[in-house]
Amino acid sequence: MAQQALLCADLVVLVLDVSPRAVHVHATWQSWIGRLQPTQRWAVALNGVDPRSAIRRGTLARLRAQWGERLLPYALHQDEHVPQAQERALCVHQNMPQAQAAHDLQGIAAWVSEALGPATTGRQGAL
Amino acid sequence: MLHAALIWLAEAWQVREPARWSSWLWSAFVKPAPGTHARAMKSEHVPDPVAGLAHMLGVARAAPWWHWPWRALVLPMAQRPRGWPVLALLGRGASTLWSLAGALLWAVLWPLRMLMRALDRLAERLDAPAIGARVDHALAPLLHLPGMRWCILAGGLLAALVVMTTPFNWLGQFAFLLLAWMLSMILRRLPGRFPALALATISLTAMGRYAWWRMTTTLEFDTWTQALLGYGLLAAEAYTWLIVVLGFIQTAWPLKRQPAPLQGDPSHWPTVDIFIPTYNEPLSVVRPTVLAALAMDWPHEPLNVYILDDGRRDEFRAFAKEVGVHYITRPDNRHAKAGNLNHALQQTDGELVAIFDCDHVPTRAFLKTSVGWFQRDPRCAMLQTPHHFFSPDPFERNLGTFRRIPNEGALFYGLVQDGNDFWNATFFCGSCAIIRRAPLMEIGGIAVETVTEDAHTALKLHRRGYTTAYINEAQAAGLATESLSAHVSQRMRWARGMAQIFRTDNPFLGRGLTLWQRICYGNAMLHFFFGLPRLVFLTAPMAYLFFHIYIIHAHAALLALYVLPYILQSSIANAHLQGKFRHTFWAEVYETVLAWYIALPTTLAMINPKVGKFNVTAKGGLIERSYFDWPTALPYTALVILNLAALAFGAVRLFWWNTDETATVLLNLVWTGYSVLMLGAAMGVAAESRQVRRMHRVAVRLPAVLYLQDGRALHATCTDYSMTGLGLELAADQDWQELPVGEPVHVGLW
Repeated sequence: MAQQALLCADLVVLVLDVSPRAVHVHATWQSWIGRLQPTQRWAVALNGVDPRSAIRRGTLARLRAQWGERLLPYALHQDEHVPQAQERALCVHQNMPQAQAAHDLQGIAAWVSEALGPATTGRQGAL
Repeated sequence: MLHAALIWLAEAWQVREPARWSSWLWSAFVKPAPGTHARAMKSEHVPDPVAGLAHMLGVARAAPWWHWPWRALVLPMAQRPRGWPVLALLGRGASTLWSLAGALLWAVLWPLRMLMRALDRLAERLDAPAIGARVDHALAPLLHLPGMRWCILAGGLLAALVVMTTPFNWLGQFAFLLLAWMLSMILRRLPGRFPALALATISLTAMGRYAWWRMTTTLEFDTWTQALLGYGLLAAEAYTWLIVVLGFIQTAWPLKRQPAPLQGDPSHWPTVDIFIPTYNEPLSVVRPTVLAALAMDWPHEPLNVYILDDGRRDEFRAFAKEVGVHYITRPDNRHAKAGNLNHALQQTDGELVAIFDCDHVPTRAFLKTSVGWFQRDPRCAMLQTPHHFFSPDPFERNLGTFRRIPNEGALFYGLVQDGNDFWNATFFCGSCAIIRRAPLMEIGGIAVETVTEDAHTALKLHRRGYTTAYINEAQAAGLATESLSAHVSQRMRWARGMAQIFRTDNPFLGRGLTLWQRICYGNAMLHFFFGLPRLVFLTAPMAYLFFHIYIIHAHAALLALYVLPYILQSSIANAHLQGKFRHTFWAEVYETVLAWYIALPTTLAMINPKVGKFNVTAKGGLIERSYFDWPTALPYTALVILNLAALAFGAVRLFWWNTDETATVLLNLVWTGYSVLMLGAAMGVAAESRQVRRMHRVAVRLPAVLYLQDGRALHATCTDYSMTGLGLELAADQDWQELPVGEPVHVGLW
């Protein structure tokens, strides 16, 4: 399914959790990316950023070093508002517009819409 | 009595309805028809104005006299609606008069406004850069002739001398005033440095005319007292003329040097020792400086940071060990900070030495910004960066002018040092600077002869032919002095030190300096002698107002005609040259506050340079409650009282004693009035206002995340932060009730 989506998308956004595991599977993801057509664009989004945890802080620095320019300017922060919204079957911005997660998601959405541009029709990105 | 008179008048005029104004007016002009029966007036028919007023004001008839004016202005709440009309009437009258006067002034000044507008339009049409380029092109061959520049300078000076010394009658002087003013009005709109220089030249010419006239025609005295006071005032004025001339030369062409990029392989960049001298400041003040110094970007890791502790405190030793910096103490405290630095110089060996006062927190980029010039210019011995304060000084805090009006440091670090740099005369200011070790050791380390070791060290380096540099980019931030008394004692030390250097190592004498360096140093030192002259200006009109002694032998109107162009042109030139860095009125207030306190130390240091010792500037304190600093303000209180008494005497002279010389009295009254205004503001500085925070907050706009205890994260904006706290702003539609009070939270900053 994921491979199917990868082949169809104009824009591929790889979402990685900020955990040591994501650092270790860097090579696997690189081989996946290698199979993309030259016309297909791609970027990496990070999820679960939490400056309070030393492990996550270190991992964030290593992921930044690994992916460099390919990282989106917005990272998704660890935020209890997300499960709270899920419990009420709402989107996080509907449940709590001031939540940091809502702010981050809006940033990512704005970036994606900017990247796809007005000319793209028909095919959608894979997220 | 008034009532009886009114009754009599009503009867004589046969006023029909004495209670109505209109009836009185009618009867005043229209006689009753002949034959009508004359009506006798009774007291109840005619209203008693005094009783009416008493009723309106709510005063009993038998009340003491002062109840009347008191009640006219201050009424109990219940009676206010009735009594108010008195005040309202007065207010309306005053406001009508005021607006009439304003309209009159507006009408009178109409031609002046039109003229200014026309001059502005003319300035817009002038293509100054193109004209400048053409003139440059035409004059270039001439200027390349050897010695021609000096000839032109001599010719210009000669022409200026002719302009200054030619006597005019009042009409000629008025024409000079008008023409000089019109020229300045055009020049101030033109871009570039040359129009600014032209403005300065006009201003100096106007001053020269005044000075020449003052010295040649106004010094005829009848008695010894007159002569003594008259020459005293002249000396004070001559001092200001000297300072103005030196100041214009000093800041004629601010260099605005940019940082030089570092060259070569980073491993070959020079080694740097960082000195942080401290004596009695608490660790909480020193800690941020040390940590920031450690965090500076430089390839030689780890950086050699030295805490030079003259307090020999175990707490500091432990802290140095904990964060991995060197800790140096010495057995005695000889020569205070200078001795402390010299002792450390003996024990270290870096090519460059960076010096930070213990409360100046450097930025990461400090070394990378400043060291480049040492590579580019091998003769460069010292580089200074500005002292930037993120807390208001006592003047700014007590007068509420922080970040709104440029403070006194703004002039020095924004303009004077850039001007010095052009003449290769940048001063060392004791902190936020880098010195090359070899030249410093050549002059015997930091100078110890005076209490301003920094300026003297730079002077010694310049005498050896070394160059210095100034980069006007704040690369460190510190705490300003907290209280007025501390601020005053710091400036007293500077003033005393400068006077000491002036006496012991006079920049106008001795070898090794260029003429321009001598002028820059001379101005820096002479500047601190402003105490006595300013006290003279604050008291000069009293000689006339109290004792009727003439200290300027001239007609008041002619004096005004000569002084006016001088003051007008200096203010236009100053506003153009230093507008961004100096606010004329507040700078005057600043000097007024300091005048009393630096007059004595500078005079004493001139007599005997060895008097006085180094006092450490107290910083990092907290003014916990507002109070009035009476001991500091006492001299100003006395001066204010004296000036107010002089004003009262002046009023008496104006109306009774000296009605034949109204202009002279008025001139002295205006002068005294200005002094009172300035002294009042000076006293305002002594009203110490309360400080809310011990750690000063730096204003920023940074995205932030607020983590609540339950794991929820809110998007926020950080508005300010310090070592101990920060300000967060949440989205406007945030429900504040939801935020828990007293619960620990985390904040993530980018």
